Amino acid sequence: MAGVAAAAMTCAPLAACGAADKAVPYLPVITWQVGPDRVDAEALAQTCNDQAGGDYRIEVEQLPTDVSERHALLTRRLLAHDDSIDLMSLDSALTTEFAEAGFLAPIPAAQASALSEGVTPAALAAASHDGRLVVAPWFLDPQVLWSKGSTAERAGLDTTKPISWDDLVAGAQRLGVTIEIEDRDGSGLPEWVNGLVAGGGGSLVSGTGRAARAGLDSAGGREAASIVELYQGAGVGPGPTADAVTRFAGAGGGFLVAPTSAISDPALSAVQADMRVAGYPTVADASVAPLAGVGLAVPAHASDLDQQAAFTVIECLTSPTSLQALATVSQHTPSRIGLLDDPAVAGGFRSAEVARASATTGVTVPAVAAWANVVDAIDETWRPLAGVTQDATPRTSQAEVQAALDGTIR
Amino acid sequence: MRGWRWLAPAVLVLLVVTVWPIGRAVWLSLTRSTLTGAGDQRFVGIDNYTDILSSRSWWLAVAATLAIVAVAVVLQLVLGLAFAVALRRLTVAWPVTRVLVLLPFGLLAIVSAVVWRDAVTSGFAVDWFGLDDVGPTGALVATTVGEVWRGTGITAVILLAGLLRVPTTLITSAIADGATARQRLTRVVLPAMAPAIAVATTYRALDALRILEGPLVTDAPGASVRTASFVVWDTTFSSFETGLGAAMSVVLLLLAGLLAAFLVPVLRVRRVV
Repeated sequence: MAGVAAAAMTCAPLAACGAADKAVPYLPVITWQVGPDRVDAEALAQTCNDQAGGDYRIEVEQLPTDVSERHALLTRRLLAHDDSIDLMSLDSALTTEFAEAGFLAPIPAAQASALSEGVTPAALAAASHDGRLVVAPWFLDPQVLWSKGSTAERAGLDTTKPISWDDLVAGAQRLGVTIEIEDRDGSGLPEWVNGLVAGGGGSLVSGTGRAARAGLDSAGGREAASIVELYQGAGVGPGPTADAVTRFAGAGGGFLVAPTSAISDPALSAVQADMRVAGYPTVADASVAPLAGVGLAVPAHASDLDQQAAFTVIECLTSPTSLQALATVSQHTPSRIGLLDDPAVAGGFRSAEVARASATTGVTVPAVAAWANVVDAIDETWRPLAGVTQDATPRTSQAEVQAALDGTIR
Repeated sequence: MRGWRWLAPAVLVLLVVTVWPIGRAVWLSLTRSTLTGAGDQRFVGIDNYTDILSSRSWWLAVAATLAIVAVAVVLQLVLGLAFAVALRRLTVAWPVTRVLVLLPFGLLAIVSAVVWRDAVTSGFAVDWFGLDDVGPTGALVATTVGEVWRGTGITAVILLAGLLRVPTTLITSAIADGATARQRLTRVVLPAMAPAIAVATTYRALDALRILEGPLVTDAPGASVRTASFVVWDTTFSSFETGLGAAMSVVLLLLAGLLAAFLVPVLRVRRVV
């Protein structure tokens, strides 16, 4: 949002302002659009506002929870050069599309090196386009396997190393508990499929732009479908759902496949102390955790003054103090992974060891501009899960995903 | 020349509001462009059209749309005619009922669609009929019924106008000639009100062809039935593939033209009055 001449508001008695009117201080109001992540954006904004000492004021605005709605809304508003967006918590999956559309102001060179320092390669790639940093890396959560109390031991599973999907499903079936898979915003299924295909040695999409190729009709794709088929056939859960956390906390819940931040969910407060963490389940001996997170981006259409203020806000939001809060309060895995070794964080972050390993071996969604359409294509071909078969689904999904990448009718 | 001067403003307005947008849509339909791909627009000729015409999902959507059109129009005509006959006999409450039958049509289509969807997913219909999960297709059926409910009043009013054109002398003559009730209906009343039936059918068919609100509020991942206008909306405003979406809307416009070209001659009944 455009800056506000704050002094003009406060100088009610005209005499008090006098000749100083010419030097009315400019107070940029930065409207920060945030998604459905677990960050307490209001608290962070307040801390930064207090530190700013009147240099800027952050106002938080909530974006839709559903990933498709969020994508559509942001796209329309950015296309329309909506000046009520000064700063965005941008899903890492949207970096490529928005950068290609020219929506994002590149990070100034003076800040880029500081913001890239110590950031994991995956997080750096998810924040860059054409070799340039266009988003300030913030957090990139790997998905991990949470379990309640001694559930894993009772199921005969060794949690010191990643467990295979086969063993996990068999263990849950034996105990009669569920394996919940979290899907907070509608991107859970595509991220699951992406992780499974990568775990099977394949790649959901390879290449970039219109030359991108879907890789579902492959050994990796069939491996992914076989695991979904196994999971569904065993009846150990409903697949990716929005209420996975609540279901996990309930009596029948045994395991939860979710990001590191899941443990900070209020719905888990009753079982939080008793939760254990293990690496993301393996497909073919490889644990490839889906990585998804948020970066901080400034719209290219914002005025120079607002951009300058927004980048100053980014400095505050990526400061060690803010990142510590991000890790210890909301349990998001900071892109600057070294922060987990900080004594102030080490004691308060529940999944440090697993997160550190997963952050380097995990996989982000493909960096293609058509990702939002790929999400729809996967949703249409892999739901309902009961209809997934390793013989048919990879082939039909391949055609749909390829059509989404090509921009042809699905 | 003088007449043209008077006509010119109207022609100009028509050109601006009709020909220009359609022309732009046709031009856009010949390109591969996305809303978010700033430098990605390129001329592809008729590629978008060949994509659409050879797509199974497009023709499935068209078939679903035509099925909805057929069911909705027939139901609206039958119910509308029944209402028209009843309304014709009303005398005392006539001014009130005229407004009442048009009330559903005053409701926004999106509101009607949401209400009818909710009725079968979480509302009264679930209890009354013991419905289980009706799924997206069941919800689409419900919203189509809602569309019939919304359009029946206006159809009744159009048909009533036609019914009032049938002179009572014609009916009495038919009775005097010994015509049965069925003969009076098929040989006298229906032919006499044929122009009204033609207007109602064409209007309601073209209205149903662009049905969007119901499909929009009932769509869910994995939904097996989608209408053509929903596919156009989804491609243009959700996937932001503007070139492809424009081509689809041009094809849909041609389909509407074809439907009208079919209905108008078929419904042109010999005037008897």
